[in-house]
Amino acid sequence: MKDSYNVELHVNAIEMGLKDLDFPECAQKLISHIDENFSTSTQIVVLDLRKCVVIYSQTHEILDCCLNSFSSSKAIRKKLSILTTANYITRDLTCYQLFRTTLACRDEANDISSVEKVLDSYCRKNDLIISVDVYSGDSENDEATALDIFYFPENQEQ
Amino acid sequence: MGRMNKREPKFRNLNVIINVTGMSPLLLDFLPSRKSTSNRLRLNLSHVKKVDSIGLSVLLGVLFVGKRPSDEFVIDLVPSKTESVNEKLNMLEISPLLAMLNSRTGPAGHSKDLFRTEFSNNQTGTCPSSTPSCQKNFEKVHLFIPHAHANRQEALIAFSNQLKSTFQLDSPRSFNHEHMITILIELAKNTLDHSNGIGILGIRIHSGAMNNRKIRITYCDTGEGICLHVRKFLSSNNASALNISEQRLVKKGSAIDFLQKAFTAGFSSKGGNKTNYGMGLTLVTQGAFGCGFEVWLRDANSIIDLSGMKNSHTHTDMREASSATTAAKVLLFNFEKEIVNERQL
Repeated sequence: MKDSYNVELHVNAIEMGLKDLDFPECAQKLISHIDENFSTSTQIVVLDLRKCVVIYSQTHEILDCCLNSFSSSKAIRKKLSILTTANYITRDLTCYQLFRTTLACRDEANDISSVEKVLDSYCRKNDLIISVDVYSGDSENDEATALDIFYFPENQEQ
Repeated sequence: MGRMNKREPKFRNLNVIINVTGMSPLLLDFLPSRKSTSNRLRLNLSHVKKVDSIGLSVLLGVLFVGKRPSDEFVIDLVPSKTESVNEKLNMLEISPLLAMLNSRTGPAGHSKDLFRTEFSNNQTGTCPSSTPSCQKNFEKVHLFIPHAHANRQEALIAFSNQLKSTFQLDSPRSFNHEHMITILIELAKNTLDHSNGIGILGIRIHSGAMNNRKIRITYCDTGEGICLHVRKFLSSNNASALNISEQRLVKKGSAIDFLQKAFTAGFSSKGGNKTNYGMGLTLVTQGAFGCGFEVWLRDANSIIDLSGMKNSHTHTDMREASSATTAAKVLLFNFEKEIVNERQL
């Protein structure tokens, strides 16, 4: 973990030319970038995966990298903000699809009814707030506002 | 010399209807009769007057439903009397598609040319770039043939690449390309894991007329279908391992019972690592709703409009949304979405 005064790390996969995150080599490049740029001061990671092809088997590697970095960080009020165009409508399904195989959930939850609770509990335990901002992905316009924002633990909007 | 050879069986004539657009080919029944079971098939397109990518994908689905990769077929195509239909079929690459269906790996290196076609293959399948409306009026058919690839990963990557390449034609974009790719890959995984068949995908984007701007995507799976697969899976289990409801299902279950079971969170007929399964169909339908698509499913003796089931797939919901049908028994997912003008967003 490098030394830096930057509190926020903003990672935009498309700007890095990494659209095909269903391919392991692309996911690995993103992971390396996060690893290299996560610093002792990092409190907030904004992971912009909008308009990327993501499947769970690669997503969990990327998210694990963020969760691992946060768990070894001494920063307080940590936040992981995921921007995505993968729209599964509900909080439980979104949570299931993104997090079920991450280190936050994989040992304790394997069905849709338990993944949310386990993730909420993980976040409380690690002083971490996760937000998943879901965008439409229907048009070329990237300025659109999020259709939904899901927070973990729940009710963490502030 | 010719008289010395064993006489080859006659071609089984498969007459195709006039209209090969949309779901019309579901009206066809190509299952062999008791009198005619030949694997030499003559697909007679001579009467066809209309064709599109959706119709062709469904036609291929109906043609190959239940046929195993190890089966050997000779397919003879009789072209349409309507030249524009033949041009369209060329544009949709009917010859390469049939050739791809022949790209399987035979036992001990055995390889046989199974398809003969009378169509030339001198077009690329995409509209010529000089056509102004081409980018937003395009059609394509893709095949997902698991046994044509060395392994699962390669098969899925090849399919993913085909989808990405085709969706690039939709520029500026009119739907969520990346999420639909994820959903279609999920269907391809189902073909890999639960079906001995192949996947046939048709996509059609039409944005010519203001009142008929629509995206349509179909995915046919030529395997045994969801209902039969779930029934076989439950039947193969030790009766003591089934709960009372499942025991009843095995004996008396209807198509809706089995479909509802398949959509139940956590249910899977696939063994695995206990972390990744049991949600595939829910993710497909809810993901498609998230992209603004209407979804309906055709399997066994039913057609089900899943579009109203935004939050759950209860038995009552599924029963109310289903219609009995005698249409060809191919497993088919249909996704439809109106194209919204950029200015309306």
